[in-house]
Amino acid sequence: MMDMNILVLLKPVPDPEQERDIQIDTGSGRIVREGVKHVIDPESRNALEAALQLAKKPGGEPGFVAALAMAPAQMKDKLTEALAMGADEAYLLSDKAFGGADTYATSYTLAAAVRKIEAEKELQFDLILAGTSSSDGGTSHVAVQTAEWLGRTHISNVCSIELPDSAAGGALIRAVKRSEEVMLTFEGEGPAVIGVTRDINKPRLVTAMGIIKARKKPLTVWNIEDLVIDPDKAGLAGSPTKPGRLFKPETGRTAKEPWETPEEAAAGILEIIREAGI
Amino acid sequence: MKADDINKILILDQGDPVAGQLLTKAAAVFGEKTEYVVLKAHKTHNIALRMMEQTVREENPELVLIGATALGEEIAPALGVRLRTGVAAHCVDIRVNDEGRLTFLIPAFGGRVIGEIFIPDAKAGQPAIATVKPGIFQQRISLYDGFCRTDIGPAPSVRIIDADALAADGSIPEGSKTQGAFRLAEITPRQRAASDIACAELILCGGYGLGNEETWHKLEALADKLNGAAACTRAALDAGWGCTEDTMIGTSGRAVSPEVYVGFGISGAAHHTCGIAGAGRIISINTDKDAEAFAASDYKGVFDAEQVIDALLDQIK
Ligand SMILES: Cc1cc2nc3c(=O)[nH]c(=O)nc-3n(C[C@H](O)[C@H](O)[C@H](O)COP(=O)(O)OP(=O)(O)OC[C@H]3O[C@@H](n4cnc5c(N)ncnc54)[C@H](O)[C@@H]3O)c2cc1C
Ligand SMILES: Cc1cc2nc3c(=O)[nH]c(=O)nc-3n(C[C@H](O)[C@H](O)[C@H](O)COP(=O)(O)OP(=O)(O)OC[C@H]3O[C@@H](n4cnc5c(N)ncnc54)[C@H](O)[C@@H]3O)c2cc1C
Repeated sequence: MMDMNILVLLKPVPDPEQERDIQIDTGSGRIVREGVKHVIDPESRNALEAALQLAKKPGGEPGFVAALAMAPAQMKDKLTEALAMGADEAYLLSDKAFGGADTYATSYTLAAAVRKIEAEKELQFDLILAGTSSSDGGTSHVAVQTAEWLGRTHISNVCSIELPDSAAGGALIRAVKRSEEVMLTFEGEGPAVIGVTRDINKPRLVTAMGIIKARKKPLTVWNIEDLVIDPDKAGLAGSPTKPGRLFKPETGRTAKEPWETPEEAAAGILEIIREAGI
Repeated sequence: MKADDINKILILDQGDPVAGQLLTKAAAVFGEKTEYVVLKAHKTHNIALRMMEQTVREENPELVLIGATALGEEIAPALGVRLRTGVAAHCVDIRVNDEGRLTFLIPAFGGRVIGEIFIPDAKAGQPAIATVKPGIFQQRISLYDGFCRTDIGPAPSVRIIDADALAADGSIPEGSKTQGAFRLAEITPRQRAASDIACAELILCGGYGLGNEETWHKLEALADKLNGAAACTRAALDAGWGCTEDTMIGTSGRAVSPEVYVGFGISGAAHHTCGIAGAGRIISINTDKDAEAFAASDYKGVFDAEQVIDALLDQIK
């Protein structure tokens, strides 16, 4: 069996369970992140689980799984968590100059880090796995754009990845992409960047043994000087999209409560449907 | 970029209603002084991406609009990197602000927050690119026959470039069966709901508060009798009552704009409600008097969902 090298793009995000309480600072117009619990973005976690399942098949040659995040320094513990889940190494890109990056600048910086990791390790990742869409920004751009910067194949919305002929030593990757009307099965050899969806797997829990092992695994932090990049393409300065005001959406609706019983509600609903001419 | 600087807009038509929705919106914002070009390149990745890149280089538009379908979500960001320009993702509105700047309104945190995004350095040939989910904008102009709404308003003059990757019989020619270096090995149809929620004028949406599979089936039967469509939330989908994913409404599902939407047992997470912002009347039934769903509703009823569904079934007998 072939041993695979897989890199996972892993984004720390504010806990989706707490999104209801998300606040916008009226002075700066920015989202208040202080005091908000951060977690690994759910689909990034699915990507990590997929990487571990593909690279660490029982009985096979164990492959290499690394995790990469661009995030503020205090998010380091999210990478430690990835190591505890089973990743072999982790890389954190952290620098004030990376702040405020849109997806173009984010993916540009991530791609530069991929090149550096590959050069240092003298390997090429067979797969780079990411979420299709993060729970906070949720643009669905980063996997595709990272692939573009690296000149690699990209496929998003992938709900299944298999290695059909790995037992015979083959390198074929089979990925099933979900689109609106059909499921598309793609086959090819790496390198490729794949964005997964949440239903690809159920991520494993962190175990006590995993946490102990994670302490001995390398976690590297790089700043802008460690990467070979054009500083004009990183962070807010390098972002072609610029943010303006942030606000909470107004629905412009105020709910009337005209009905006293379920029967009245039913009659009222039918009346509204009739009025709408349906 | 100022809205006045926009002379030409390129829209990708992927063979679904979204191109008509984008054209309707663009025509409303930019009017007749702008030239509209539609590239018809149906449903294959490598060809659509290559043709879009080539068409931008030949036509030099200042703005490119792409439907955020599974295909469009791969074409748009890739194009952004290739053309060295910004991409505004999943716009819920495209506007001209007080200073005359082109402004995209973008949801984040599953729709709980909306942000303004500008692409100030965009210019002809290095256009601002924006994606919009199907169903966010209403369609008042149809490019071709066969979409849910027919010609309603006067259409701006549109030039269509036909780069259709599909053969006349709808099959995919051998040469375009690739995505990057990967080969398209198989296409299988997905399980589809009986009625399409995208075109429905009435949607009855079930949430986790329906409580069980039986009540979900009652809701489906009711929707059928009322000539509407049944839809679901993610929690209802996950419950495994038999709801299908193509009827899930919200951030990771679909956006709809029916005349009437009735939600049963839905808490009203922004992830869900951002998909119904365009609905005419919104009615919510929930046993929790403080349910967040009520804040996004025109009518509310603090009742048991099943009792209201039973009463509805009873009254239409
Ligand atoms: C209100 C608002 C609107 C925005 N609108 C836009 C916009 O229209 N266009 C635009 O270009 N930017 C926009 N942004 C900025 C964008 O959200 C950030 O650049 C964000 O850091 C990356 O994009 P995402 O979270 O949308 O990633 P997605 O592409 O949705 O993430 C998919 C996957 O990529 C990986 N990934 C993403 N970010 C990282 C990271 N930092 N480190 C490691 N892996 C990562 C993860 O695996 C993740 O699951 C917006 C931000 C806000 C707050
Ligand atoms: C990244 C991400 C993307 C997401 N995308 C989507 C999406 O696209 N679409 C989506 O829907 N969700 C999405 N979600 C999930 C979303 O956050 C909510 O969890 C979900 O919408 C809740 O569904 P619900 O209202 O049916 O269930 P719940 O939140 O469990 O609410 C059930 C409601 O039913 C009420 N109820 C209980 N019993 C009764 C009764 N007998 N009669 C009447 N009412 C009753 C309760 O008071 C409650 O308000 C997403 C989440 C994440 C993190």
